[in-house]
Amino acid sequence: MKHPLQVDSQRPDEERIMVIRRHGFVFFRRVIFLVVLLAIPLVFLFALTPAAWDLILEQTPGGVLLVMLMSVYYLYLGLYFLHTWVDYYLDVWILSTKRIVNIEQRGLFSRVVSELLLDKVQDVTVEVHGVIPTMLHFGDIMIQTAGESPRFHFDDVPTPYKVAETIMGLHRAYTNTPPKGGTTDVRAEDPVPTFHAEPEKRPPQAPGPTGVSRP
Amino acid sequence: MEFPLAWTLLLYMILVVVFLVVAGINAFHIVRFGSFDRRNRIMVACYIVVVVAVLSATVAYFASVDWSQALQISIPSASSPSFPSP
Repeated sequence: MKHPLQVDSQRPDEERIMVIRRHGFVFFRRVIFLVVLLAIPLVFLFALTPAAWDLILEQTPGGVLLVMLMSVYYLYLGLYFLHTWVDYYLDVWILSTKRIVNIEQRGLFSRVVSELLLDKVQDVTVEVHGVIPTMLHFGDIMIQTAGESPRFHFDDVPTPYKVAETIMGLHRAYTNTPPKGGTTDVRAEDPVPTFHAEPEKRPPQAPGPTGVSRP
Repeated sequence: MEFPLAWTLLLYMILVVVFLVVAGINAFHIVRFGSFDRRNRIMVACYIVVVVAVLSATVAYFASVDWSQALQISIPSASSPSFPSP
């Protein structure tokens, strides 16, 4: 099966540059939680109440009930695993030569697809907080837009600085803006650089919802 | 209170049906919106292996259970000797 951008809405003169999912650690973190949940009944059964094992082997009503409960517990744990995977896997950011598409799966019956044309990009902010994100190179990317939606926000993106550079590169290519005028803010108290589009070559735009306007 | 053990089997089957419906919805999402790359195949295969293992083990256990047994549930009351008298 092809990707939704290819199947549904890819435009003829559009090229897909990058498909981004959250960093694998996000899924791994939930799997660790699952493993802990997996072990709880076993610890309870074999360590805390060894007599329960006799009930199960003798097939007494209590033992049968215990097996049923464990079976349901593990089936639903498996379901939680699948749901976690679907939630992780179907959250996608697609960068193309013309736009950014954000596909977000929220639960089973909620799916949000939003797109942002590259000329609406005002600035791209990368935030990396914490030891693990710093070591594993993932973080959040926020795109300030000139449109109605205040911000495009994507969490736990792998190699966020590279992705931010790619977005700004695509933005420059889309608006035919030379790269040399672009700036990168790096503040001492905030080690996260903010990439700004080049202001002087852009046409005037309406102020964004947060009041940020470009000259 | 006493009721046949088979009733619990009915309850179990209802829970399994609900499980299968929700699993089906998740599978639909994967087929409709996902792409069958290697990672996705591995995860779905892991899930199927776990589910088949749990269901097989449960069915194998249930096959030899005497379902005509009665399940007794006792609710402690104030008149029960286990309660200390004031």
